[in-house]
Amino acid sequence: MMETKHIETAAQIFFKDMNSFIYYLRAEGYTITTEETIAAFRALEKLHLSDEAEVFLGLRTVLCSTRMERDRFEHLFTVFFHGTQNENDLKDRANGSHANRDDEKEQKPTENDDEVIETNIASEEADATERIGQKNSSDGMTEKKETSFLQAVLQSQTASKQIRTVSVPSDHYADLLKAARLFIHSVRLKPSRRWQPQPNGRRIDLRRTFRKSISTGGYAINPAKFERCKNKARFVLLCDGSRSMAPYTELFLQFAAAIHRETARTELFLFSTEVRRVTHLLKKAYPPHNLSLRNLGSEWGGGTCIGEALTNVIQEEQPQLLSKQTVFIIFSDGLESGELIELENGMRTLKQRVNCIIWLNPLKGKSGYEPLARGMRIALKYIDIFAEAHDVTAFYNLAQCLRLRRE
Amino acid sequence: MVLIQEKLHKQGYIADRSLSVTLQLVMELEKPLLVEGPAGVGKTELAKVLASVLETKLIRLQCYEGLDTTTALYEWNYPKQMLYIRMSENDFPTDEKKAPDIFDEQFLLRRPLLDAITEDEKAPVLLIDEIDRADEAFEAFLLEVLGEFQVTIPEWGTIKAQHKPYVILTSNRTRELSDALRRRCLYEWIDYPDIEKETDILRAKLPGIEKRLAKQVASTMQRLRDLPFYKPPGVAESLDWARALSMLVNADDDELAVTDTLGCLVKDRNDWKLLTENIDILREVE
Repeated sequence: MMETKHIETAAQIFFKDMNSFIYYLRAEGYTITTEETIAAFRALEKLHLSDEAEVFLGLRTVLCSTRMERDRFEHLFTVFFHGTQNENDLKDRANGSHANRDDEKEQKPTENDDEVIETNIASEEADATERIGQKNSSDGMTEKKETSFLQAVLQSQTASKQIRTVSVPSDHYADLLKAARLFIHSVRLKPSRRWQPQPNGRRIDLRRTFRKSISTGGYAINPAKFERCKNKARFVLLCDGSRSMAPYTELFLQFAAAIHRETARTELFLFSTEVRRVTHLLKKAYPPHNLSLRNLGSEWGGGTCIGEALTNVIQEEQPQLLSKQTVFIIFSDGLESGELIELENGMRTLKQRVNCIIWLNPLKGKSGYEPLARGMRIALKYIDIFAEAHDVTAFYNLAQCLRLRRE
Repeated sequence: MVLIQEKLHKQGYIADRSLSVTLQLVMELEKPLLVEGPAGVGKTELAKVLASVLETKLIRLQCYEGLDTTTALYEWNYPKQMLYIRMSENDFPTDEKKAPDIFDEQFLLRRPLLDAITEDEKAPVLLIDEIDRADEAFEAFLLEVLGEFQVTIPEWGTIKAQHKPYVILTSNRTRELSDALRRRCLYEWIDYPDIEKETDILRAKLPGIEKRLAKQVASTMQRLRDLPFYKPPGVAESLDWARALSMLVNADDDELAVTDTLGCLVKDRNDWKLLTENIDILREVE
């Protein structure tokens, strides 16, 4: 009897935590709709709440919709239910989100966010044990899972102690928006091989003409026509967030936000020693709100591992982004600290798959600069446009570079 | 969850716990399932096996560039309609005799989606294969089907499913799918199996294979997948290769060697070159 009561209480707490968890996921970039929230609760009704692994797997199925979300889910689940790197931040999100979601959306970074407090893992673990109350399974398998769960927490805590929030000002945003418009309009792609209905098309669509003729007794008075589809360009931006690039990244990130404002077919990745997709953060970047990149770990402020980042983007993260409609922009000084062979393989694959590779190097704007860095020399063979990016004018010139390349 | 895992196993499909939970939720929540993963890991097979497990019909819609509603949902039989109009040209409608209805069921050509929605005996499994190959416009059209399990034929009105089909969409991620589509689906990622799982798959699919050979094949495949292939070999390639090796073992011809079986593993010229450079990995099986 006592045990039943205990489980009911745990379930109630869990359901309450679930709501906070969904807000937490949204803050981490997951776009979870109300319908999905309802589906998550319906799933919980069908799952064994005492079995953490089953709950985890079920929620992952319902709440994730891309591989990237799925890969991050385990970490976020662990951090939320078993401990967190930034206790205050998490509590703010979990509690504050109930009161006012809009506040959370427009949360601006403060200087205090720059350094994050480490939490006491042991106390967090104990707290989680008390809150969830799901350690009531007596089989050995669950016990084994608990150990690995704790290990995962420990590993993740050790791996990324330095969590930063980077605030990007919008001082050049207006100019960069114009530059981005020019740049986007300069991209020309071949039309698709497929035909689509178009009133002023070049070819007659016999099937639709036949269909239309029914209303006129079988006489094709108005022939239906079709035309080749236009391909839309996709922009994938890979921004080097390493220490050596710190003075220049602000400008590029504003440019990225401007491109994203002009076309939704934009993806932004940040990399240093690791790579991370941060496109969702661009959505909040329109003036008057500054672009704010939150919870950055190893993808900001470390060394430069371009090859590894490229490999991840190509193979692991978003292979579907790379097609002949893709304009791939790399913003880096090319001071590669990783394996050069990996960089070469990555660039070669990229060259095969995308329409155009643009490498923006802010150092190129300096007088006397020559691309002698090993990484830069290797990459040059595969680059279509190698341009400078140290000031606003350089971004204006990008459109011109694209036009020159076509000619 | 264990039950469905066992049923899948009986059909020769080795599913891990994650997939079992997902399939359970597909049935409980009546939501479509979007399965992504590299080519050849068993995404399509999952739908086939699910239909066998549930003892229901499998309706398959193979997607491709240019696929439209007339191929996926329904189309009017225009020549038949035209013929009917011509035949009844001199037959003027009177009070007793109505004008010919050329949008009657007899003029309708049913396609997979309509078949799945109007199935009246038992909920079928609807496999929408390689949705990433279809155009964005078709994806938008699918939203009504996947969200409401209904379709609209202008001449007839809205048709709602009597039995909601179990919908499985597969994608190889050759292009990005829209958020709207993703939001309507549960999501599962099927990756390459680990050695143990792949050994089980080989033994389940090829009952005559020796355990040692199955394990060697699985182990070699793991090593091959670490190489930077343009198209890494999937489970389908493992099965082909294991079959080929079994034939080699049974054949009397001494000149045949493992290195003659490269065609089972790679399907691209550059991959072939890479595999030839790393041929030692295959020789370990010998």
